[in-house]
Amino acid sequence: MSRAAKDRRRQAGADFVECSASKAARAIPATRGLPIAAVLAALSLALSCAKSEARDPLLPPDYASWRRTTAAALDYPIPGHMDDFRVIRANALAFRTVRRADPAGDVDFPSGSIVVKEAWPRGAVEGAPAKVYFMVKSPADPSARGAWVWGMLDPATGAEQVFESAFCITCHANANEKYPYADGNPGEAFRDYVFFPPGLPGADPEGYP
Amino acid sequence: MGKREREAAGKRPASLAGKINRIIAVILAIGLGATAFVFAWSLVEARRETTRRSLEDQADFLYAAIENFMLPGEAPIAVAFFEDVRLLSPDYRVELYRADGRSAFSDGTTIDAVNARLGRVRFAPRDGMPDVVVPPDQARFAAATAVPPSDVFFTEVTGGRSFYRIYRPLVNLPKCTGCHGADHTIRGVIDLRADVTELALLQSLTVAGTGGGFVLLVLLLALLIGRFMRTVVVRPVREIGALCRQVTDGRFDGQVVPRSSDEIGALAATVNGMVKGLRERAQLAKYVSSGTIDSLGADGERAERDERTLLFTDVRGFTAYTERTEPERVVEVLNRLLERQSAIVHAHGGDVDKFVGDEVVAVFSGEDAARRALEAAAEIRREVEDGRGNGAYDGLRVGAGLATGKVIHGMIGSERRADFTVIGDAVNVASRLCALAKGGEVIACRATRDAARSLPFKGPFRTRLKGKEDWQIVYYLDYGTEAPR
Repeated sequence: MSRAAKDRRRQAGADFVECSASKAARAIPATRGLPIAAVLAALSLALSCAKSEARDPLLPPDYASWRRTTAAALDYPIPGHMDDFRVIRANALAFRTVRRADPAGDVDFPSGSIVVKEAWPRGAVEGAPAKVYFMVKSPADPSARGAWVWGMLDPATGAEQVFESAFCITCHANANEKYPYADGNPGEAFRDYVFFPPGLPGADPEGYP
Repeated sequence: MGKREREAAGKRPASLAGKINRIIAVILAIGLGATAFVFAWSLVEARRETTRRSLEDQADFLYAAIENFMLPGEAPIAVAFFEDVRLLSPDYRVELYRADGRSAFSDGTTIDAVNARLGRVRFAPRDGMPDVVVPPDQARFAAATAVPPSDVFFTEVTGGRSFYRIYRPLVNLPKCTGCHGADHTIRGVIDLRADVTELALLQSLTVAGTGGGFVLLVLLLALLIGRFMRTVVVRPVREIGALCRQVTDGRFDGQVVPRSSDEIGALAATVNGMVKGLRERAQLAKYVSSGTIDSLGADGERAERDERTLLFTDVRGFTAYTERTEPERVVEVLNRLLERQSAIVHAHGGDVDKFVGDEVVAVFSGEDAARRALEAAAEIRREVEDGRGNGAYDGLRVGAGLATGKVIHGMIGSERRADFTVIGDAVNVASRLCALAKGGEVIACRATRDAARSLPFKGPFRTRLKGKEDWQIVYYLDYGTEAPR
């Protein structure tokens, strides 16, 4: 793991199953007044427990019309998504960013970029995807890890679920190092947690229909 | 139970001091109790979070170490590292599980799988770490190895000791799939367990100390505030109450010493002023008629004409008596005589209007005024005549005259000196009849006698009075043994 990747992983933090005041308590130095910590912990507790409340949809309904970032057949097994058949798309903002990528190959998607991964179970690729995973660049969002909000859409119900845990970013941090997909990122460029950013060497920077 | 029921049951009603103490105790218990609770709770939470952060940081370090050891295939270093970490502190236990719950490095299963996947013997089999003695908690372990996985922090009590514990899942990263394959998401779980028995004991002692200190503080503050309230409020109120009871019993010589300039002090000063006024009024009653006193609070300019019975008494031969007797004795006997007559007049509902030397002027009003005046005169006569035998009045005798009629009563005098008194023909007639009466005689006018026919009289007799052209009809009270002369 590169130093930059380690730093980013530390920034991403971790999460716990128990509904607790962990995040706020971790942000408070132990030397501060206990009553203040108690009040903040109680407030954090209320806020963290309120995260399950409904929020506005993050994924626009036209995501299926966005262009694909790679023409490769993504049907090989990978941790987290196993052997689902996958299609990766990005919104127009994400494509425009990549066209301005620096010579080192580093990518830093602007706020508002969205990358979506549709997944069909092996052998059932017809019709609507069974699951739709998405990452929305939104640094100010309290649920963001690595400046991205990670989530999943259930196409059957239209319900979105935002992942509060570090699981997604733990794996996707590997995109900023060498990895076994696409071109493998031989230069260990910072690819902003995206394994298939638009415009990889040999790929159409305008994407694929 | 209501107040009446409590009194009926013989229970003493709650005192002001008791109520104040209870209110103070309740307020302190609520206020300080909430403070102590928040303090103890925040203390426990802060310590729990501190330990939790420490465990999480340690899990991060271990995670990074394992990732960096295993990526180049340095499993032996990872094994040695783990064994050394285990020896660092007896308060910590570190375990590394495979995803199936078995201890990592305990056999050659993983090495065999990696070699098979690589198609060559990349790693030689070796002795592994012993399998874990205590298997992981299945439910929590399942949460840590689910997809998506989660860190699991929990507390447990085993063998009488308390532990904080964390399960940190190891994710099968893309860069790990070259050796381990991509057919699974979770490689294993780091298990960190910290012995917090002493910490829990310290927390218990802290909470107990806080609670004990809270109780002591409440008691001390309740004592101090209660004492303060007793001094500032209860004691002055009790003193004021005692003074009021004295006044109720007819004693006006008491006083409350104001201890402060607040509302209680102002109340004490007001009560003192009230008692002083009552005392002055009581003393004034010795020197002026009750009619005068009553008129002080009324409109003194208002004069009215009403029927009254006037009683005049006079000591016979008093001038000669004063000439042959020592002045002190004269004053003593006269005061005793006037005091006794005054008491008798008051006992019969009359009002001593004034003393003029040895003469007493009394006014009777209301129903049976004439009869009560005659009875008072008879009792005065009997008192004085009886006193002749024991020398109480040095043998002096009293004559009395009574008259009944319309009189004018009001404030008579000047701006500087005025009395509430009566004027009119009945006053003159009573005075003349008193002058006419010899020692031991009680003479009444016809109107007086007609208003009290039930009493024994002698008469009528005809007499002339100074200032009256016509003969006047008069009656003598009849005492049976002594005929009028």
